Amino acid sequence: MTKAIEVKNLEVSFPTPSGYSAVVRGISLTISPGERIAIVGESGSGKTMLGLSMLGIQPASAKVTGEVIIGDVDMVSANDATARKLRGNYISMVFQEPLTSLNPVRTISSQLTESVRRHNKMSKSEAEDRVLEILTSVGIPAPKERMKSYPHQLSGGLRQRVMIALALINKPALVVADEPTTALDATIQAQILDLLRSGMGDAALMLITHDLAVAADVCNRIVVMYAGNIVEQGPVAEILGNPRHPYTRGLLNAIPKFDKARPPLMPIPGSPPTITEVVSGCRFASRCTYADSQCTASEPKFIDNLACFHPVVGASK
Amino acid sequence: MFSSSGWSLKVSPENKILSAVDLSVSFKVSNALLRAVDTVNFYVNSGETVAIVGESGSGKTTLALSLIRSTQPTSGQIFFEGQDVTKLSEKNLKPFRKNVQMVFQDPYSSLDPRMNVGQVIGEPLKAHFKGTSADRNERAAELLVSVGLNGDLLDRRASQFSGGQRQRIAIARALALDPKVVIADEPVSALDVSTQAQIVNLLQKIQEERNISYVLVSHDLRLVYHLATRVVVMYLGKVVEEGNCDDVVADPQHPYTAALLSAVPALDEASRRDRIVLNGSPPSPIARPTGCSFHPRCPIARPECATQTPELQSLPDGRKVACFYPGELQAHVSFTSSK
Repeated sequence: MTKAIEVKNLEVSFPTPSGYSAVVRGISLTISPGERIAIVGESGSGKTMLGLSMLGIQPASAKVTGEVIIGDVDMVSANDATARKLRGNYISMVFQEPLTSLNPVRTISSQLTESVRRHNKMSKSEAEDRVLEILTSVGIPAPKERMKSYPHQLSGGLRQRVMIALALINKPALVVADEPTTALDATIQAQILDLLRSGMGDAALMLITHDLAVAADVCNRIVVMYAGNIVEQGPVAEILGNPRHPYTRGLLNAIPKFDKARPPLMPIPGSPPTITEVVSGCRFASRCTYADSQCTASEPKFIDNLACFHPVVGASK
Repeated sequence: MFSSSGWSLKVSPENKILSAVDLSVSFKVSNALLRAVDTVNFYVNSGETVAIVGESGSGKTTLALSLIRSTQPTSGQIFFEGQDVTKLSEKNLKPFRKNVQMVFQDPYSSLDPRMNVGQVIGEPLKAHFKGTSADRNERAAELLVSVGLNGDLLDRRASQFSGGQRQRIAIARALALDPKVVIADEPVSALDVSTQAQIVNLLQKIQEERNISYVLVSHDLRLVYHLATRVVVMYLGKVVEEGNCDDVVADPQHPYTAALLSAVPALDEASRRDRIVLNGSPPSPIARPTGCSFHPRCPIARPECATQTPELQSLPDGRKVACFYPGELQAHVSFTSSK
């Protein structure tokens, strides 16, 4: 598939005592074929709910409106059968903790061949050939032997490679990976980041992470989310070198760096609004040092890749 | 090029507030012996921050837990202010307990959900001092203020606070007995980025005000570089490198240290391009490889590394490394300069 995946005005809300509250607040996003895009945000930014609802696997209590166009089909309005066809074939997901995402009582081979045969007319041995091929391509040593293993017999890094193989096995257009390296050790994380950067074949990647450095490491484009909105997006070099949104800049300043002078870290004061909190104007205003009356009076629109009345100018430190 | 002296000569022993000598901790795991910590020497000076880094299975947390006498060492000694505390009974440990406190990684599980904040912070006070609950509440309120929270929140329960606020409460509890050493095991890794910076700054402020020593257990090398003066790198239960943070980061001597530095997700292109990516995962501490434990994953291993075990040796500048080819493998680390 060579068409872009388009998210149009996607809203995800949950029931609260005072009516529905949105955690994803009307997001629009285009992911080009083969692109690697990072969704960066802190807990509560809505980044995970965005990913889940793009696959149509959000919690049952969630209300989703808007469109997620995959090929010529809208995932949001698709019926269950269509959605199942899209998942795996066109869009798939890698979760944070592979041990809980894989079935513990079935071998790697049985789980992967099931996925192949569900979407393709293939004999068992043809499917096993495909599994062997994909396990090899994601860098699993001795893949033939590994196919007979159960998930608990593999290390965390190998399990995550199996998850990535499972996501890639039907050659989807887009793989959504939600914090795929957070549970891994440093040297294993480096291996998986390499795989995500250069081992995904033709699939596009949407990497959901709280870590700007991980995003920069893997992706071409960074999308920054805050409290359910996209506040800024752009190529990696621009977001890191010249962030315009005060929140993006705040995130960068909050990370310790290898700087001999050890300048004090600059935390972002306060915390994000809760799901039920009513905020007038910009949702970041209460934590923003640049905010003025305009910011609390009305919410800035997302124009020219930025949602801010007072963009910061100048290179970041 | 090696000198064989045990401890760095630049540090006089009286400065060592907490130390471990030839410390080993082993566990029996289904008839095999797991040497979680293997003959480790460690010390922290008064007012200093020392970081212990390593991956899962490196023994860093077990070392930290034995430093607070929570896990009993199999052999070796622990000294606090010159006194051997390794075998002290719980009763005689009371002064030690008062002086060496711990902050855990996850403030969602380290605070008792049934207690209010006053009880959480007051509990160590109750265990160590006589006094009324009103006295304790007064002290707890002071402590809350000193960690940047409002002193009138004593009646609230931990569940009513955010992750960052909970970690502040956990820090207040650790400070309640005015300890000389605080051991912090991944104190910010469960927190959001913007909150991490708040807690890091708080830890630094507390150290300046109280001259506390920190033992920081962390996998985050940028954080380690920012907070610690000295760093100890562990692999499969052993110290493989030790030295000042500035030296170790700028010029790592052990190939594992170089690989760890290289694995830090990078904000710049060059670090990514020249990344050292190790093969495989750390082996199980039960089935330790022969020779140098790191040799099966080491990019510069030679045949003798599989048969001979390199000892931890001192370099002329006071650093220590356990490798036959120190300094050979280097990582690209991007330094930034704020000046």
